[in-house]
Amino acid sequence: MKITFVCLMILVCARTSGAFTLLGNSSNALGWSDANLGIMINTSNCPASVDVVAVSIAAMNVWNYSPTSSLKLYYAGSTTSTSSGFPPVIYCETNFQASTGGLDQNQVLGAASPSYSGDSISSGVIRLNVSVGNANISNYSTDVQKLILAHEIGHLIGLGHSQKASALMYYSTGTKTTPVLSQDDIDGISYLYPANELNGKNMAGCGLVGSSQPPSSGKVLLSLLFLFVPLLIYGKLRWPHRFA
Amino acid sequence: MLKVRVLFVLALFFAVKCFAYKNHSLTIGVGYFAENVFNKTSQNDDGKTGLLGAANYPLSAKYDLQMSGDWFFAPQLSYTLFPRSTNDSAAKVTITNLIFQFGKNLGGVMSSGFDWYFGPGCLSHQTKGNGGTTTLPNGTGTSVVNLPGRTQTAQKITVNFGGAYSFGKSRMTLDLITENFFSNNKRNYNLMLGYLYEIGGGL
Repeated sequence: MKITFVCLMILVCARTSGAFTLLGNSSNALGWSDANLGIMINTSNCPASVDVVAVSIAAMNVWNYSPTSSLKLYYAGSTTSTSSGFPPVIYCETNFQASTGGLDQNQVLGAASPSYSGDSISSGVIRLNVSVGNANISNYSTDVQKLILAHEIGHLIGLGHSQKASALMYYSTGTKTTPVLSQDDIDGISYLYPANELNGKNMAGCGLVGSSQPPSSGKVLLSLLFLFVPLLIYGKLRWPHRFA
Repeated sequence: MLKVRVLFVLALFFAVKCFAYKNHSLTIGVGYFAENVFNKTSQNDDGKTGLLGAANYPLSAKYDLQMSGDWFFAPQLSYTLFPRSTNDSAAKVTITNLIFQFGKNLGGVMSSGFDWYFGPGCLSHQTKGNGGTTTLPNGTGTSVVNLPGRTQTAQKITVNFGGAYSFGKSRMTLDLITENFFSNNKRNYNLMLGYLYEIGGGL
């Protein structure tokens, strides 16, 4: 038995995975200073066939559901702005190739541009391709539009491209049809916006059930206490003298 | 004849009188910790999800304290001594998991080696980057991007459920570790399969 145990110990080894990358000026780059980030949307040039607001909210939620991150993205309302700012803006760009410094409007569906102040992001913008090029977003299904927007939002919050083809942040959509985070994406977002429930904020995911205000730590601890009620009841029934 | 053999083997298997939790028992072992299980993460180039998530291999230590009768309090600490790393070792992810188990030996003749437990815990994901840059495709060209250079830690409160079977000094465990337990959107599950060996105590 001891030999088996030693063999199992020896079998413990490291496993490789993908590598997320960061935008910004250095390896010390961070994300936005506030993990609660509102994004404004300008729909003025968007095709009628594309519900940019709904697609954007769905794409934000892809990142919101990352389990070990404190990032909370939300729709901050409509705007007429088409420039990089705070809050960041999503808008439809008819002159996509020129406005993005020459990105091919026949191949690139969207582009995000976060701007850094030191190590943190201070402003940003996402341009969606609605040009005469082949990569106009209206030429793609709603699922692909969500995929593209989720990818661009990944850039907006500070992530670069991933080396893993399964990642949402891989440079190409490839054959993906729905936006799903890979472990590499989760590692990246958790690196930039790590959740810290030991400080009493959003403990055990509280405050994330469609509520804008998380409940107090006392309520959460009370809820945790309810986990032990079955134990107490069982003990009282079985050993009443011990609980007398 | 086959049924008789199976019954004979089962009888031998369960005839070993043992209890899963033992007061002041110290056990150590290894585990397989799968993150974000049940089709939560994209695992293929086409974005398809998989049942089990990223694999980690923690070392574990557990100490049993009898509370009352068959009920035990048994804190267990697991730590990935060899962290999950990226292909180019740009970043390493170390997982530390502390579970406060409240468990019960099932007792009985046929199930004396079984126990089940539940309890809160704390799960820490530490990502340590080595820094540097790399060149990756971007649009129709390439761009130089940064590799992570800091050490960041995410700490989560967990709710845990598990069961175990003990035979002799060995113990096989299966844990369901839930993060964001109270969130219907962010709730996610981790699974840990463990093998522990009793090295001391056990009154």
